[in-house]
Formats: sequence, structure tokens, C-alpha cells
Amino acid sequence: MTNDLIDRYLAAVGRELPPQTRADIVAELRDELMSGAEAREERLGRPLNIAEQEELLVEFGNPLLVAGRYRKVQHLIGPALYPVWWAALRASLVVIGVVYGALVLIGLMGGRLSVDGIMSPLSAAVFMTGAVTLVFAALERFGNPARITRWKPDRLPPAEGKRRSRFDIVTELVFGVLFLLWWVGLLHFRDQGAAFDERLELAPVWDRWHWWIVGYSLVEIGSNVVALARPDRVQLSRWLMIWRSLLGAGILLGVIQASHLLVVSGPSGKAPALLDLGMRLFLGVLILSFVARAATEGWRLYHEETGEAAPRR
Amino acid sequence: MPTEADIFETLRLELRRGSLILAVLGQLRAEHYGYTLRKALADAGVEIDEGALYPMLRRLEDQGLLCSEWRVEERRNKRFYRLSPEGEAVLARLVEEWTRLNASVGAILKGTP
Repeated sequence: MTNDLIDRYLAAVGRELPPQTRADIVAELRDELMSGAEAREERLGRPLNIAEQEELLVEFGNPLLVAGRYRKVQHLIGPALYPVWWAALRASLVVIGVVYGALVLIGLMGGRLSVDGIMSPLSAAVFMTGAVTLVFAALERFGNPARITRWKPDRLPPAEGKRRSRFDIVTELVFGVLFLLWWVGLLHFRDQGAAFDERLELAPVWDRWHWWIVGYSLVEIGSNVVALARPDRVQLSRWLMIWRSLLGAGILLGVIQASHLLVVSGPSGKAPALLDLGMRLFLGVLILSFVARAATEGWRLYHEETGEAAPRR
Repeated sequence: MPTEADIFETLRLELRRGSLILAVLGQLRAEHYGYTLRKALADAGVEIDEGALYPMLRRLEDQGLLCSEWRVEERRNKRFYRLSPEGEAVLARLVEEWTRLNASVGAILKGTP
């Protein structure tokens, strides 16, 4: 058998091997190939022709794969971490979907973010996929998968009873953060009345309730974080929902009593009164939904605590 | 959609994977270099391709179960492997485990209609 073909094959394998073990492995593979070729030549009673030599090398395997089997790391993310990686990736992509959904909604309402450099949804999804995969590949390599996948049975959420889906919680969390950013002035909306020669502003009553609303927003975000991180703490989540709903209803009850909710400047006649009425109706519905939510959670809490079957919607 | 033959082949490979190490360790109670080891295994009915054998030998040596040395034989430099003392102890335990498992699985299979 000509050494040229073997030399070229072994060089291709060697290029993919770590330098410190390359010579040793290549020497061993050379002996294996030569022994195999000699055994075939002995059987045939003549030297191997080119096609037979090529066939021998093809049977030996693709150089990249042959060298790859010597690598200590044979997979990027192993079977122990794979389900955790997949769950983390799905959760990250859901967050991206909700964030961009919210941004599209804000865009339709004429809003804009005051920060530049927001990626396109596709770039964000690709970036997130890469980042999550890199983190898990590093955990696979340097971390302890058994420790990462450790869990506590007592943290499992109850099997029965009506609970909010994780999608609902994430959506409310994202909208809660965007609302807070807008409320404290980090997210700006274009003036919608400008198209009609009007200028819309919140009435002074909102300033009086500014910090109450910041507080409510933080409680809402916190309760959603608790609901996401500790799905087993059903009672705590229900209590938080009741308290924040009552807090929200109380704040809006205070606001709605003001004579003006919006300040509309411009040459229109009935428009300011109509806009103010619309806002008042909107707040009224919001107060009712807060009260209804608190009552529903209270009702469920009562049934759960008395051990009766939880009510279902 | 995998065919029945594909499914069987995947399961067969899974079944063989663990037992190949046992066969290699068992065969290396006597000294061999790669090519003769593969031939001895094949003669005993255990086929293993080179791509799987050599990385396995290296891994077992890194784990301290095998010792190796380069020697010239038949005008060529060859790497000879044999079981190390640690390898012998591990093999004895693996054989015990294998025998127990074999008996258990055998009993289960015998009980099936």
C-alpha cells in the first residue's frame, strides 16, 4: 500500500488532534492501518490497488470523526442538563416574545422607547439562544450538573386548583416593568392629541398619587416574581394578589374623585369633557376588576384553607 | 420515521456499548497491540471498529485501568496494552456485576412467555 494516501489521511486526522497527543495517536493509527492493509494484501496475494486502498480508508472513517472520538468532551450539553437548557431557552424566548409584543403594542399606541439600539426580535432571539447555550455549555464543562438539577419536592406546585399560567405571569411582569418605566419617565409616549391640534396631559391629581402608584407597581412586579420563582407558595401568591388588588383599587378610588383626570389643551369644544369621561369610565372598570380579582382570590383562599374543593372558573 | 431495523440497530448498539469495555478489559489480561486485540475480540465474536477501540483504550489508560508501552515488533513500532493492577481489581468487580445482571435478566427473560 502506498504510504502517500495513508500519510495524507493521517495528516488530516492529526490536524484535528490536540498537539500534545497528536504524534502518539497518529503513530498508533498508522500501525493499525498498515496492519490492516498488509492482512488484506496477504489474503489477495497482491498489493492493494488505489480503489482498495481508498475503500480501506473509507472504512476506517472520516478523519474529522476519527479524531473527534479522542476528544474528552463529546457533547456540548449532556443528557443531565439538556432538559434544564431547553426549559431555560423556552422561558427566555417567551420573555422575548412578550417584551417585543408589548413594544409592538406601545408602537401602535404611538409610544417610543427613549433608549436606542434595541435589536430586532429575530436578532434578540438568536442572541438569547446563543447566550443561554453558551452558559449551559460552560456549566456542563465546569459546573456540577447534579447540583444544578437539584430540586426540593416541597417546592412543587399543588397538583390541583386554579392557578395562573406562567405565560400570564410573565406577560403581566413585562407589562408591569414597562408601565413602571413609563411612569418614572424612562419610557416616553408621543402626544396622541397632537394629530387633532390638542395636547393631552395627566391632571395634577396623578402627581399627588405618584409614589403610591410607584409603590403599587413595585408590589405587582414583586408578587409576579414570587409567583414565578416559588409556584409552591400558592397562599402567599394569593395574599399578595389580594393586597395589591385592594391597593390598586384604593389608589384609583382616590384618583377618580378628582374633578379632572386629564388636562386637554387646544381649540376643541366637547373633546376635553369626552376624553375625561372616557378616562373616568376606564378607571371605574379597572377598580371593579381589582375588587373582583381580590374577591376571587379571597374566595379561593378560603376554600383552600377550609379544605374544600377549590372553585374553578 | 425510523424503521424497525433502525430501532433494533440503535438498541443493539446501546446493549453492546457497556459490554464492549468488559470484553476489552477481559481480553487485555494478556498483552495485545491494537490490531491483534481487535482480531482476538473478533475471533471471540465481539466485533469492534477501530474508531471506537483506540479512543476507548486511551480513555481506559487515562483512568489507570491499562498500562501501555511502545515496542518494535514485525519491523514496526507498536503500542502494547495490558491490564494494570487497578484494572484487574475493577475488572473483577465488573465481572461480578455482569454475572449478577446476566443472571437477573436471564431469569426475567426465562419467565416471559
